[in-house]
Amino acid sequence: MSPTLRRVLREWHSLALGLSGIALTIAVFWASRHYPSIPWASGGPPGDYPRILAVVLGVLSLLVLGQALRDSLHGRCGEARSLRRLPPDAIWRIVAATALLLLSPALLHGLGFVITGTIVCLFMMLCAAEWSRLRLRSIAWMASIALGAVLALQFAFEDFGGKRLPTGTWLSGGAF
Amino acid sequence: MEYLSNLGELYLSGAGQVFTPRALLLILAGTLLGIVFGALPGLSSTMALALFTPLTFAMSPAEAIVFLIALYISSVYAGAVAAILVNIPGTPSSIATSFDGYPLSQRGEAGRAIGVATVASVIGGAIGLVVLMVGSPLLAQMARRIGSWEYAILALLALTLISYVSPGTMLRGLIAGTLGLLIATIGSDLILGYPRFTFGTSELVGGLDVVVLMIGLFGFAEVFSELENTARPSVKQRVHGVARSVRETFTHTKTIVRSSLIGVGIGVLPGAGGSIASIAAYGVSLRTSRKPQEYGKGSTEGLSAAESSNNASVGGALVPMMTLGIPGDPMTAVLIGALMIHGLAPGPQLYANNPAFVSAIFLGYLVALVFMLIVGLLAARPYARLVSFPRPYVMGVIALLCVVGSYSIQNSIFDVWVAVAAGFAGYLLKKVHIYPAPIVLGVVLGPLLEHNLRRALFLGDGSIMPFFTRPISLLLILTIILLLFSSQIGQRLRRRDAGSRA
Repeated sequence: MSPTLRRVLREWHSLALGLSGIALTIAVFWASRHYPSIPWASGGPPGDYPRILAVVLGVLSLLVLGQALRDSLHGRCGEARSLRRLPPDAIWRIVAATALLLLSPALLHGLGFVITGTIVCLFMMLCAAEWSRLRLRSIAWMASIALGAVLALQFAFEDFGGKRLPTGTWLSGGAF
Repeated sequence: MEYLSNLGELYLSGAGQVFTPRALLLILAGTLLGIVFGALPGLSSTMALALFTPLTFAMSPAEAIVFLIALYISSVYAGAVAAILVNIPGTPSSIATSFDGYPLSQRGEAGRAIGVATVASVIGGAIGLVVLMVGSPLLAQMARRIGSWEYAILALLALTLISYVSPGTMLRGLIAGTLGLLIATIGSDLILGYPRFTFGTSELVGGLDVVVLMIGLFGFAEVFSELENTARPSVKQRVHGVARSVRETFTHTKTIVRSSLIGVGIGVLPGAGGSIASIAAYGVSLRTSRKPQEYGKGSTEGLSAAESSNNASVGGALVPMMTLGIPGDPMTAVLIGALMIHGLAPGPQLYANNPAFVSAIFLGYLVALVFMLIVGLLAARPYARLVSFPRPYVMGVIALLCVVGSYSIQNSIFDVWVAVAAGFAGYLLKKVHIYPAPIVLGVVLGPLLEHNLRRALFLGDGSIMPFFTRPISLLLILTIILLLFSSQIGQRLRRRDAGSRA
C-alpha cells in the first residue's frame, strides 16, 4: 500500500462520514422521486424541502471529504488520532448489549415487561461489570437489584404514571 | 396583553396550581432525582429529562412542567458534586466547577466547596428566573409581530448557532443539524398530509417522536459509551462543614451577579448552554478578580462564578423556548416535547392563551430553587456517596429506563426499536465527532422551519424576495452568513495584522 493511500485511509472516519452523507443525499432523491409536484399556491411540493436539505447535506459531505483528502495529502494530523482504539472486551460488551437491546422489543412484546425488564437490566449490569471480579454472589445481588428496579418502575409507570406496560403474548393469559 | 395587565391575578392562579401538596411533592421528587442524575458522572440533565418525561402523562400540564424544571435545574447544579469530589464533571455545565472545586476537595474542604457551589447555584438560578419572569413576557409580546419569514430564518439561525458552538468542527455541527432536519421530514407532510419516507410503514406516518429519539441519542448512546470503560471513580474526601460556607459565598456577591448575567445572556442563545456560560463567566471572573493567583488552586470566587453562571443559563435557555418555541439546548428541546405531549405549544400564544400556566411555571421554578438549596445544604453527604456508586447497577437501570421510557410515550414497541437504533447510531456518530445536540435541535426545529418556510413561500407565491426585503429577516440572514464565515474572516484579519506588523 502506498504511503499516500495509507495517509488517506487514516482519515477513515471523515471518509465514512462524507460517503455516508452523499449516500443519504442520493437515497433522499431516490425515495422522493414519485412525490407529487404541487404548485406553491396549493401548498407547495412535499418533496422539495427534503430535497433541498439533501443537497445541503451532500455539499457539506463533499466539504468533509475534501478536507480529509487535503489533510491527508498534506500530511496534517486529522482527527483520526484522537480516536481511541477499543480494547477487545469493550467491543464484546457493546456487541452483546446491542444484540440484547435489539431483541428487547420482541421480548417485551412476547414476555412482557417484568421478565424482559429483568433480563435487560441484569444483562446490562453484567455487560458493564468488571468480568474478572464477577462472583456468583455479586450476580445474585445484581439479579435482585434488577428485579427490584423493574417492580419499582412498573409501579411508577402503571400506578403513578397511568401507563399500561406490556404483559406478554407468549405466556398464557399474560400472567406477567 | 392579558399576561402583563393582570399579573397579580395570574400569579394567584398560578400559585393555586403549584402550592398543592401533590405539586410540591412532585417538585421535591424532581429535585431529588435531578440531584441523583447530576451527581452521577455519565448521566446528564438531558438524559434525566428524556427518561422522566413519559412519567408525566398522568400529571396536569403545570405539574408536569414544574416537575421537569425541578429535574432540569437540580441536575445542572448537582453536576458540581462529581466535579468537586472526583474531578469528573457530572454534567457538561460543571466543567469550570472542577477548576477550583477539585483543588478545594483535595485540600480536605469538599464540604466547603459543595456549600459554596450550592448557594452560588441558587443565587444564579434566582437571577435567571428574574430575567425569565421580566424578559419573556415582553419578548413574547414582540414575537407576536414576527412573520413566517422571520420564524423560518430564526430557526436556521438557531441551528447555525448550535453548530457554531457544538464540540468538533462547525462543518460537522452543520451536518448534524441537517441530519436532524431530514429526520424531522419523516412522516406526514405538514401542509398537505402527504406521507414522506414512511416506506409503507404505518408507524412512521406520524413521524419519529422527539422524546423517543432523545432517549436513544442521550440514553442508549451513553450506555454504549459507558460500556467502553468499566473503571469507576472513588471518593476519598470527607464532606463536612457544608452549611458553614453559606456566609462565605455572599462575600462574592458581585462576582455571582456578574457571572449570572453572563450565564443568562449566553443561555438565551440557542445551543450555547451552561458549559459555555460557566467557562465564559469563569474567564471574566479570573480577569477581574483581585486574587487571580488563587484561581485554579481552590478559589471559592472562581467556583461561585462557574456555578452561578451555569444555573443562570437555565433561565436564559427558557426564554427563547417559552416565547418563540425555539429550544436553547437539548434540555429545553425535551421540555418543548413535554409541553406538546400535554397539548400546549410554546411560543407567544402560550402567554396569550395560558397565562396562568406560565406563572405556575415561574412559581414552580422558584419553589424548586428553594428545595435545591435545602437538599443541597442538608443532604450533601449522602448524595456525595452517589459519585462512587457502582457503575454496572447504574447502567442496568438506565438501560431499563430507556426501554420503558421509549415504550410508554405512545405505548409502542416500534418506538423501542427506534430508540435502540437511534442510540446505536448516536454512539457511532460520536466516534466520527458528530454529537447529538445539533441533531436533536434539528428534529425539534424541523417542523417549525418547514412550516414557516413553506407558508412564507405560499404567501409570496413562490418568491424568496420577502426574505431579503423584510428588515428583521435580512438582519438574521446576515448574522447567519457572518457566523458561517466568521472563522475565515478571523483568519484573514489575523493574517493581515501579522502582515502589517512585519
